[in-house]
Order: sequence, then C-alpha cells, then structure tokens
Amino acid sequence: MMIGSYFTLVMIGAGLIGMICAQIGFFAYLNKRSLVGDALAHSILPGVVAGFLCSLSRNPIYLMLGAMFSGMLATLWMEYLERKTRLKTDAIIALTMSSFSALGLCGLSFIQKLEAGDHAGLGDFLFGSIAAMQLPDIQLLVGVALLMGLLFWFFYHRFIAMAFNKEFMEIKGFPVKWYGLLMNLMLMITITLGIQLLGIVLISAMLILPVVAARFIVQSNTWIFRVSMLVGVTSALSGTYISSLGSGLPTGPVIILTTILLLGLMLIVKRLMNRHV
Amino acid sequence: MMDTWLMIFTAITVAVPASLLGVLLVNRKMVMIADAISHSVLPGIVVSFLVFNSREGGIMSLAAVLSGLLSSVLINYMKFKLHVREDAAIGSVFTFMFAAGVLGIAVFAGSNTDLDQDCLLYGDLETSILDQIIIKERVWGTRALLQQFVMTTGIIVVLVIARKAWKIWAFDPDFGKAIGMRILAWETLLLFMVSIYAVLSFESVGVVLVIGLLVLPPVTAMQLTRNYRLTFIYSACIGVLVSVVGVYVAKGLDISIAPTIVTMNGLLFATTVFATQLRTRLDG
Repeated sequence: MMIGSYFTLVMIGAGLIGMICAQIGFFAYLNKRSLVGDALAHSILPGVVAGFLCSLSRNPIYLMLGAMFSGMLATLWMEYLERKTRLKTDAIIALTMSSFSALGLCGLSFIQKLEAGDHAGLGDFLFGSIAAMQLPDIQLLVGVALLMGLLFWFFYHRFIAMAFNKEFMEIKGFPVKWYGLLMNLMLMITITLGIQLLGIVLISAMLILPVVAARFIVQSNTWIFRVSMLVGVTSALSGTYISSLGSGLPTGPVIILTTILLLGLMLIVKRLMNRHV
Repeated sequence: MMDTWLMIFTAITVAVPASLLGVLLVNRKMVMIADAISHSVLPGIVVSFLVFNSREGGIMSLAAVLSGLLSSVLINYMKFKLHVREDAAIGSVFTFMFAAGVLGIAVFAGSNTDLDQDCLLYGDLETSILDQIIIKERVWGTRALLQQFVMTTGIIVVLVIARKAWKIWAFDPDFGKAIGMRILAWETLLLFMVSIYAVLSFESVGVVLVIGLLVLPPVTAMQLTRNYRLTFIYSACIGVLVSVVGVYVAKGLDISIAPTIVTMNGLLFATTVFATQLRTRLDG
C-alpha cells in the first residue's frame, strides 16, 4: 500500500526510533528509572493537546514544544515530591502520570467538541500510527533521531560512569547536574519522537523490553548496549512492515509484540546456553 | 436531574473502593503492580467479548481476573526466576498484555460494534447510565451502578472484617509470618480484589484511569494525617468529594467525566502538598 521513497523514509524513521529508544532505555535501566519513562510518556499528553489548541493544527513543531514543556513540568513535579513529601517513588510516578494523562484526556474530549481545526489525527498519539504522518513530519523525525543517535555515541562513556559512580564523577569535576539534565532532556525528546510511532501507553515498552531481552544473552555493558539496539531496530522495522501490510493495524502494539517474540527467543537461547555450560 | 444523581452515585461507587484498596497498595509499594493488573484485564475483556460474545458480568469478570492474575504471576516469575529488576518486569508485562488487548480490538472490533476502543480505555460514565433498571415505571438504578454497588460492599466487608490482618500485612509482614499469617495469600487476595475492581469499573472509567483512582485519594489523605485508620476514612471522603465535584465540572465544561474526576483529584493533591509546605514554613 505504501511504496517508493515515502515508505523507505518511514522505515528509516522507525528504525532510528527503535535505536534511540533502546539507547536511552539502557541508561534508564542502569539508573533504575525504567518506569519514569512510562510516567513521562503519559505526562506529555496535556502538552500535545495544548500545542494543538495554540496552533489549531497538527503542526509537529507546536506539538513537540508542548510535549517537551509538560514533560519538563512532570519531571520537576516528581523531583519536588521526592524532596518534600514522604511518598515512595512508585506512588509518585503513579500519581504524576495519572493526573497528567487525565488532564490530557480532558483536553482531548474538549477538542473533540470544537468545530475549528483538523483534530482527526490527535487520537493517533494514543496508539501510534506512522501511516498518519506526513512527509515533513517524517523528515523532522529522521533528522532529530539521527542527532540523538550521534549524541548517545558521543556521551556513552560519560553516561555509563554517571550511572555507576556519580560521586567519582563529581570528584573528577564533571558537571554531574548538567549531565542529569541532558539525560532527562534526551529521554523526553526520545519519547516525544517515539509516541508518533508507538503511542503513549506503549512507548515505555520500547524503552524497557530491548534491554531486558539483551540481558538474557550477554553480560557486559557494551554488549548489552549493542544487542539491545539491535533488538530495538529489528523489532521496530519488522513491526512497522507487518502493520503496513494489514489495514487498520496500529503500529505500536504490533511492534511491541514483535519485541516480545524476540525476548522469548533470547530466553530460549539463554536456556540452551545454560544447559551446555 | 435524575441523570446527574445517577452519574454522581456511579462515580462514588467507583471511587470509594479504589480509595480504600489504594491505601494498602501505597503502604506496601505495590502501586505499579496494581497499574499493571489494571492494564492487563484488557485482553481478558477482549477475549470474553470475542469468544463468548458476552457483556455479562460473570464470564467477562472471570476472563479478566484470570488475565490480571496471570500478569502478576508473570511479573513474579521475571523478578525471581529471571532476575529482571522489578520495575522493568512490571513494565514488560503490562505493555505486553496491553498491546495484545489493543491489537485484539483493532483486528476484531470491525465485526463487533459493542467493542468500542475509546469506551474500553477511557470509560464512558455518560452512557453507562442509559442502561437503566426500571421496575414499575420507576428508575431504581443502572446495571453499572448495581454491579459497582455490590462490589463496593464486598470490598468494604472484606477490608473491615479482616482489618487487623490487613494492618499487620501493610506494616509488618515479617511479624505476620512469625505469628503464622500467610502473607502471600493476603497479597493475592488484595490483587484479586484489584482485578475484580478493574473489571467491574472499566465501563465507567476505562482501564487507563484506574491507577489514578487507586493512588490519588490515598496520597492526598497521607498529606493530611499519619494515623492509619484516619487515612482510610480521609481517603474515602476525598474519593466521594472529587467524584461529586468532577461530575459537576465535567457537566459544566461539557467534557468526559472520568478524566475530569482524576484531574480534580490531581489538583486537590497538588493544593494539599503546597498547603502543607506553606504550613511547615510558617510554623518555622
């Protein structure tokens, strides 16, 4: 159904998103922040809605700016609660993501009553639909994803050191706070890009599953990083391809199920390897 | 007018059991497991729609409770047998179950008009009141209200009868083990109640917002008191309060009710936190 250069570009975009999701997911796992990604993904919904209300169009720039803003707000809110209240991390994550996503859903139901603007595609943010994206959206996505990928290669060793020994980095004179901020920012950009493909509820799976799968068969950090990227790219590509075959198949769930298949495969490989040791 | 009352009562019967269960969940740091369960009932609901083509409480609850409990078993398997960290295990399992459910809807919903994606995910309190029970030309309630009322009563009875056991379970499971309590059985009972709750309330609030109803009233109550029993009472009161306010605000702005209730609760929580901070600052 989709042919030619458009489809090639979609596949490149999907592959890149799979890659950067796996990359940031790896660091999120090391920092024990796997579910923070889930909270952030839910939290950007009100921002997307606000971005739409400001521009009355699906201009990706406005939507992304809104998403970044409300994601940042959610991060600050979680950090504030962590410092000021006695609540545990899991309760803070749950309450932040539920109140933000509820606000977003209120906004969505408000927009649906509006006459003005083309709001047809906003629902796609919930489950992801790469087919609904226009050419400029995808060009922007490919550009930003490429930049993110490069940033990860560049900062890899510093992020690893940050995850394992923050105090050491501080003594060495690295601006630890800024690296934390950079990491948060990159997590947010990744999620903002990823929800167009995967949807809000399921993006966290792409952050978590590749790393979990990779840890079954390899041990060292470098290899977990590499294998999880491979898993992310493979499942994003094959999932996007499969969902483009059938009409009405949402991209997100198909990609997740492909990742789960890979995860099961790695589990079997792990069992077989253990048997021979 | 009647409609507004029906909506308020439906909202209250959804909010109160969640507020009570939530206190226990927050105390034992099991909030995210409850989130996973509430997402995992989706494939159960979808399967019971497709295989048995029924909307009746019985079969649907059974299928959904089974898939909810299956997800908690899977989480424990990943955590203890495969040594995956807990948050990652939860994240993997619930996204898998949820993806399966969404895909099931997308593939099969075309042939089945009862299965409305938006309704399943975000609930539809507005239409749930159309299914009314009318005896002798008087409206006695709705099917959703009846189901939820029975469930609320059941949950309150279980919590009140075994209140001492729950207290021990929530605060000192090791002590409980020492005096011969079966901690794991109580935990399973709680998760069972959470899945029953998620199934019976999904028509009104959907599967995505359940977590908000579970966690927001207790955490708000915990800002106000440190007393265990008062936490339950405050939490239930907050649940009732935000339901009433939520219904009126949603009707005033003409938007969906369920998300409005959760948003109101989120705002109330933020206000409480800021007020407590201000008070401690003023006190010195």
